[in-house]
This record gives sequence, C-alpha cells and structure tokens, in this order.
Amino acid sequence: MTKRNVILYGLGMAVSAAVLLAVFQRLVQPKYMTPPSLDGNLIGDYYNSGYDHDVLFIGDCECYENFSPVTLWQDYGIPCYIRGSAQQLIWQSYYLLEDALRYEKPKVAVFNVLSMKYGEPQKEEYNRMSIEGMRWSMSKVNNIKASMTEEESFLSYVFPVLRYHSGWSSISAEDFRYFFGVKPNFFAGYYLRADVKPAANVPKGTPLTDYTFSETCWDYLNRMRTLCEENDIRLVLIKAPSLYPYWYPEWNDQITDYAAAYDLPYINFLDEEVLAETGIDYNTDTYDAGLHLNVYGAEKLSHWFGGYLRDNYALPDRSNEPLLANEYANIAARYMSEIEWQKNNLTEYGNVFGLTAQETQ
Amino acid sequence: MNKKFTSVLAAAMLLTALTACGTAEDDSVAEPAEPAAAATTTTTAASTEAAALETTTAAEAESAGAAINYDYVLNGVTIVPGAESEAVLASLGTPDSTFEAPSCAFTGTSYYYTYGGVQVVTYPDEHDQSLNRFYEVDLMDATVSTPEGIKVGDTYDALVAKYGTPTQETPAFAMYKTEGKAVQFFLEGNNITQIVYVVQFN
Repeated sequence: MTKRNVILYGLGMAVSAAVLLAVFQRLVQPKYMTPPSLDGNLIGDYYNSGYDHDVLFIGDCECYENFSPVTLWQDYGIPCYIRGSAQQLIWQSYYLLEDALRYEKPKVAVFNVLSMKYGEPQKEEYNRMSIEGMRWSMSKVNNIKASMTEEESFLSYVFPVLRYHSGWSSISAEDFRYFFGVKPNFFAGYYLRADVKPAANVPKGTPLTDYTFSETCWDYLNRMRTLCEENDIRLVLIKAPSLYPYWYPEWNDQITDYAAAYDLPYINFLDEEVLAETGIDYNTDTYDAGLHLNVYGAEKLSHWFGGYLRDNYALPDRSNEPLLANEYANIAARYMSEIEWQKNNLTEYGNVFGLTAQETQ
Repeated sequence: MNKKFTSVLAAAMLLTALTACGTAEDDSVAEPAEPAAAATTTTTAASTEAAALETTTAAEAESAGAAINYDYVLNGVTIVPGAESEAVLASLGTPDSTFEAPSCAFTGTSYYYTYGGVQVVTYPDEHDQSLNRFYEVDLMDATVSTPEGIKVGDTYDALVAKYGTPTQETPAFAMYKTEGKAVQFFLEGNNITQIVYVVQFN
C-alpha cells in the first residue's frame, strides 16, 4: 500500500467513524415526541418561525402555557412568539433573548418573573430542554456555562452522545421516525391544552427563611433590562396568573420596587382587579388545578394582554401583511385542529393525548 | 440521667462528625440524607458531617438539640422528612384534601395532603421518580402542637424554654437542625405563626 493510499484509508476510516458517531448521537438524543413530555422541543421550534415578531415572551411554563399567540394575532394583528421552556431560569431567559436578537428585533419583550426565585441551576433535565435546542452561538455557550449543575460538563452539550450514550438500549421506532426532525407541536411557542381541571385546595406557600432574590437573579434582570434599552425594546414584567408555585407578597414587593425604580411596567395577573378584568375563571380555565391555564384561559388572558399592548405601545395591526398573515393562518389552522383533536381524545380516551389506559400507567 | 445521656450523645456526635468529614467532601451528589426508617424517632447519634457544619456548640446541643424531635407524629404515625412516603401515607388514612403539582417537564410530581391543621408535602425521589419522599410537615394552626408542646400562637420565649438555643435564627424564624432535617418556627413579632418539619438537602 502506498503512502497516499494509507492516508486516504485513514481519512476514510475517520470520516466513517465520525458519521457513525453522528448517527448514533442523533438516535440516542431524546426526541420529546411522546406525550406528555413534549416541552423539550420548544426552544428549537423558534428557528422555524418567520423572525418578525413585535412581541417576544420569555420565561418558563407560566409563559408558554398561559398565553396564546394565535389570539394576539387574530384579535389585534400582533405577531408574537414565546421563547420559553420548562423551569427556564432567568439567565436562560436572558441568553434566549440575546439569541433571538440575532434574528430579529421585537418592539416589546415580556418577561415572566417567577424564575427570580431560583438563584442557582436546578435540574439537568430542565437545562437540557432549555439549552440543547438553541443554535450554536456565544449566547448558547454562555447559557451552558451559567446553567450547568455540578454533575454536568460543557463537553456533553457539544457532544450530547457523551450524555445520552446509555440510551442505546432503549432506542425505539420514535428515534428513527424523528431522526431528521420532529413535527411541530407548538403554536408560536405556545403549548396547548384543551382539558379542564378546576383549581381546588391550592396550598398557600410555606413561610421562607429568606425572601430576598439572589444577586445572580438581580444581575440577569439588570442585564435583560440593559439589553432591551440598547436595542430600543420595551421590557414588560409580568407575573402570570398561575396559582402554584405560590408567589409570595415579599417577592411581589421586590419586583414592584424594581419596576418603579427603572420605570418598567409590572403586571401581576394574580392581582384580583387585573384577574377580574381578564375574566379568567379557575373552575373552567385551567387544566391542572391552577398551575397553568388551558386554551380557554390562555385566550382570555391573551385577549386582555393584547389590548394592553396595543394601547400602551402603539403596536400596529399587521394582519394585512401577506407574509405574516400566511404564517399565522398556518399556525391557526394547526391550532384549531389541535383543539378538536384534544377534545375528541377527551371524549374517546379521557385524556387529551389519546393515550390508552395502558399508556397512561 | 438525662444530662448524662445528652453528654454522651454530644460527644458521640462530635466524634462521628470528625470521622465523617472526608466522606462528606467526596460525596458530590446533592441529596437529602437517607433517614434510617420511617417508623423510628430521630435525634440519635447518627448526626455526622452536618453537625460539624453547624454553629451549635456542644453545650448548646446539650441544652437544646439532644431532646428535639425532628420527625412529626400525626395520629400515631411517624413522618420522617426525607423518608419514603407511600406506606406512611397509607397508614394515615384519607386526608381532608389533596393537591398535586406535576413538574412542567413531567419529571415528577409534588403532593400536598391536609389533615386538619397539618399539611404534609412529598417530593419525587431524584433517581426514581415513581418514588415519593416526605419533604415537609406544616403545623398551620393552634389545633396541633409539636411533641415538645409548642404550637402556633406560642411565644418565642416559650419556644426557647422548651427547645433551647436555636441552631439558626433571625427575627422572623428560629430553626433547629440535625443531619438531613430540621424543624423551623416562623415568627411575627414574638409569636409563632407556623411550624415546619422539613428535609435539609446537603
């Protein structure tokens, strides 16, 4: 064998190994396509959008389960998107906003403040769902660095196979079906639920030994505010009307003071007056006893909030713009189909996902 | 007799604390310490590295920590923060009300059970989410009291008279800790407003 052939042979082997490793990595990575664990695809779904949103929501499940972008579009012609993921920590929200600004510049950023309660990384599962869907950029790198728990390594985000290799024994048909991509389950970042479970026996918060938000959280809130100022984006702070986890008055006071100090609007949807204006009824408008709104509650909340955004930020009605109209018509069509599908499943199976009794065990 | 016992206990705690330090540093997984068994009472000599980290002195331990119950007995059933909950909950019978809080990503569910003035909260085990453990027991009103006889509405002075010097305190709360669990007394002014038996993560 000549020297040239040895090099070619070596290169061929290296390329083959790399391809095999990439295929294996993709196979063992979670696809998040088995209900109810769908949330892991929320972050990556953003890159399929049209990047022309006047309003960007950033936050945790209290954002992506409580606001309906379809309602904001249909009622006010406001294009918006929710960049949210499960238990999204404030630095993750910051880096996701920073990441979004590489693609577009919204007029308003809406941040749900619940995550101010978490001053440290929490769980790897949540980190993975919030970060792995991001495209590579310095925002993603910094997000990983800020989010990793002690057990995680940066390299396992670069090469997820290092994290998921043990999943080879549980590779299923789903892993092959969604090898090249997952089907969209969300509606401009909104996670839709059409079932109803009235709120009852919601526990009050146990007293805390310290109500002070951490320095880390304040730092990222400051950075988020500055980032918005630099990009001429109006930052709106909200506390979504989720009854649990408990939102302590002491926490509310800190956010109220911060908003006043920096002339930021802060809307606490748990405030009785505001809540009454939205028309939310916790007997009919939540699917999990008050933790999150169902689609009926999300539409009420979004209708109220759309009016607030239009009136306070002069957001134009863009429903006549063909590109946007086409994009949101497609989203709305899927949205309506999803509602019907879930309602039919409720009738037939007793759950929105159409899971059999065996599958729900 | 009591004094002798508590002195021996304090010495044993100190000794085990010193010998267990290396182990504690090697263990990087943040988990609550595994309580021995759901049916036992606590404050035994099993306190190890956690005791070494506390500001409580041996003398304070003698006057306070040694006699404190860190588990709560409800209707004759002992609830140990951090211990598995299923069998104990079955023994407690039907609660007055329940509430469940699934995580957004379905990585487990927290459950709340109310029995009169007592609220019991569980959390999913970190490694086996089909398994639940007791997170905390809240004594929410004056209809219930601690084994030491302290209840909501009592004064801080009454608390210290029964429990001794707290391990940690601020004007708003007083806490007594042992390995893996604690009992906390929340205060408004000089009065106790809530009592919480809670697991302590490392």
